[in-house]
Amino acid sequence: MAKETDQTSTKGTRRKISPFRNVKELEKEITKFMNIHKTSFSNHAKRISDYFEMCCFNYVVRFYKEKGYKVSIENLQDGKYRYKCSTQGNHNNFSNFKISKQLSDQAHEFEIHHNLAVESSHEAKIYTTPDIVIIKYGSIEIDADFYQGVKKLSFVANENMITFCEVKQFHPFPELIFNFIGTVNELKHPIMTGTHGPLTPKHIAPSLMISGKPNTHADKIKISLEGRYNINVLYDLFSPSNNPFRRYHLWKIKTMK
Amino acid sequence: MADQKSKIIGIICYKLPFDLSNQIYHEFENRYREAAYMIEKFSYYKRLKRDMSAVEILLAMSIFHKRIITNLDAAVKFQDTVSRNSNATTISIGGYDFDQKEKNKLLGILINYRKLQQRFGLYDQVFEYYETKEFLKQVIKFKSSFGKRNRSNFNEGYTEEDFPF
Repeated sequence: MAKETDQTSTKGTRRKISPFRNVKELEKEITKFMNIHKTSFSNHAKRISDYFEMCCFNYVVRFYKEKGYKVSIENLQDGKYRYKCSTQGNHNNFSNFKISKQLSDQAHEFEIHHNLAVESSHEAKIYTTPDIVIIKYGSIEIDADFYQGVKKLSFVANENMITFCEVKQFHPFPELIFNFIGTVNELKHPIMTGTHGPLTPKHIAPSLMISGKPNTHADKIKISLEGRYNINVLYDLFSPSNNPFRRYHLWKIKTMK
Repeated sequence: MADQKSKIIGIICYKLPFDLSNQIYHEFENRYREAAYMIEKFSYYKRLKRDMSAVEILLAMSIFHKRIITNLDAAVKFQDTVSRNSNATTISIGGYDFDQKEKNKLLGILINYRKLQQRFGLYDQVFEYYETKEFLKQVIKFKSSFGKRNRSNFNEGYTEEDFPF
């Protein structure tokens, strides 16, 4: 009881305990916390990378909402949102977000998908699958020959893809960041040559989203690449202060020009 | 020290899948070795010499926060986005259904975790670092916030968006 009183300030609010003076107590509390929740951690830990993708998907949806788009969900399966967590599978069997915006007399509608194959901007019939893709509404096609069997590939033709995001749960390092340029070159070649026309309404520029905090070198690479191409290299997605998708930081995210 | 070190990281990694616990364990081992070296060799960090046990626990907790807690929080937020924009309350991930009950379980974990953080003044900023030396700097700053003059330096670090509810 005396200890409780000691931790309570004169205003009646509980005062924080120093982990430096009470190491044993902190250790005890962590042990208690882990013991209570160990089964849940064990169950959810298998899906940690899916949760990270969901987090980034959530940020992209938030971006569009903040830019004035109307957001809805399509293709629920038995009343459930069916999340596509691999590159395989027919898109009709998975859910997606629909975003729409009314500009003067014209309604603009798009879809946000996860793990949808996109045709190369250099050559037909070759594909790569970014983690998040924004496409024109109702533009998914089927390639029946791709797997040379009964399985079919659902994909979007390059001209129907608006933009895309790659997500990585790592600390940013040079090879990872530069590899993203290869994907941009393949899927949005006009961005590499600076010949991409402006888009109305506004869309997020092709983005590399990395969870980790950058060091000085990674920051230099970001500045250099963003200066050369119309892309976003976004770090530190879980930071309470630097998260680029926080409402007041959104203006820093580049859009398609 | 070796026993204690294996104890806290062992508790954190207990029952986690091998891949993940391996990553957490190795990150902890490498950073702890680096931190111990810096505290021993450089005068700026020597002030933490008597707090090695606290440094060790904070390091383990920061890795756990970064690799587990932030992702669980993300799952809850995505579920919120789905239920706000449709009638669906369940997200189907492969063969697993992340439903309202599972979401509430995660919320319970996150609330308890936040309480633990608040009890010890461990705001998310303490865990914001890239290199180990940045972590040690955060720990020094955090420690100084318990000094008489600086008690308010490292608090009130939350914003509305940090809470899962």
